[in-house]
Amino acid sequence: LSHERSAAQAALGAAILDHVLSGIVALSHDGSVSYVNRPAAELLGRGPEECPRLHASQLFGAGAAAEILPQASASPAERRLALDLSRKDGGTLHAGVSVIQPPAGAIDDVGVLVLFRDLDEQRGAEDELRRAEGQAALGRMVAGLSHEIRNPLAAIQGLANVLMAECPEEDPRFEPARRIGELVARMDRLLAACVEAGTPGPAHLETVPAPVLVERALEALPPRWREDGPQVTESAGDLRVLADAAQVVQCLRALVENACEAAGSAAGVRVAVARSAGTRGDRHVHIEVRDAGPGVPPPLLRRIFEPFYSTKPDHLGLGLAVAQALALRNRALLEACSRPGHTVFTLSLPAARRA
Amino acid sequence: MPFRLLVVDDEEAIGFALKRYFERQGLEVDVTQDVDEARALVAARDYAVVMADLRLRGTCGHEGLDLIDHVRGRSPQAHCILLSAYTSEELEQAARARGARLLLRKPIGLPELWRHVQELL
Repeated sequence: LSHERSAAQAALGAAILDHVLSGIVALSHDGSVSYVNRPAAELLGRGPEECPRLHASQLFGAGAAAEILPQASASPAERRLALDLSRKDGGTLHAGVSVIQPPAGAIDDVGVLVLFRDLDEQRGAEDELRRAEGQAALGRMVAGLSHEIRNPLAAIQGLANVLMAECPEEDPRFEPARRIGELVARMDRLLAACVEAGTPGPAHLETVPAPVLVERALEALPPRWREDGPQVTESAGDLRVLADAAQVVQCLRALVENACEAAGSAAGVRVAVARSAGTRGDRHVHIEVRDAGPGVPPPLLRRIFEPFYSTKPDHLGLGLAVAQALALRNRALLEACSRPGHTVFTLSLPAARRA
Repeated sequence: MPFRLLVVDDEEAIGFALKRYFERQGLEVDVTQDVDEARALVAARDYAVVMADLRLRGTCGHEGLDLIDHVRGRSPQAHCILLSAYTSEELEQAARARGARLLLRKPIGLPELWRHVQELL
């Protein structure tokens, strides 16, 4: 019985270690790997089963291993380091590393415990949080301002209507009054667009296949972009994401419309759905919208999600700002990269857990 | 006897425009910017329609909703229309639950507003 209980406890311990956010590696006194948890293997681009035979220098790279492995004379301690760890695919993981050296004999045959996290992912999450906070503050300001402006607008509209009601159409005052009404309607539409850009409603997240979102976004395009339609080049039907379907469809639609406008045609626009190739394996699903337009120079690219920023004449410059706001609501990351001859927008949505 | 309309809005120019427009349509129109005065008017006179702004004290409050409660108690035959520079599904539900017939977003053209009033009368 006690044997069964300890086996159950060991299984529980292993399950917990495989689901923490940090990579954990135990090294023996000779520097060979005696344990890795699943996040550690994923971060280093390896299968968990192949790690225990390796030396620390093979697992982390020689330079990082030299930093991690303690000097013979070192006394037990904990050290924190920022290191570039080598991934199996030749890439580099920028990691925040804690090296814990337990007192001799404290844990059987464990010389060093190494805990590490992907610094880029952590910084990305911090940037995303800052952006979300900024967006929320801007949203509140726009909503408040629009409320304050709409009251006097309502008065202007009412006064124009009074003038129109009191003058026959041939009266010279009638036409100016009518034009005032038109301008009020235009300002109101502008305010509505700003409020939408600043404060999309809360996202009601559900599990939904990513290709369905793409399909619905393409169906929602204006007719002029649907005929030579954008092509879906890659679409794995089993990729499910956690998203508010209506909001993400609206976001994708804005991206595809932007791509069609940038290229002047829908024919060269490509949409692809793919699983994340990042260090954390299957956590995100990427939807890429690619156009064959002239490309956006770097100084302009940096401002591309700003409200009221547009490189196209006669554009309000809110389409991509709305798309970014919707992405943030859905805990998704929306990024743009551009070279002469093409621009790619990538929407990275959280993958739904497989049932 | 003409229908009587009460307009409650803290934006004076809105009250001015609504009074002038709806009197031209043959209604008798009272206007106030003040909630307490609006309550007193509702207690003293029979209105066919009460048209109130949602926020009446320049705050984030929903005094218009409270005014509807008062109108429903004192003058149940009166139709209530709420006007607001901001609307949402939740606000619309709240307005209906309190007995408002309509929640309309500002700015709204007066011919359109008049069509809504005619439908209620």
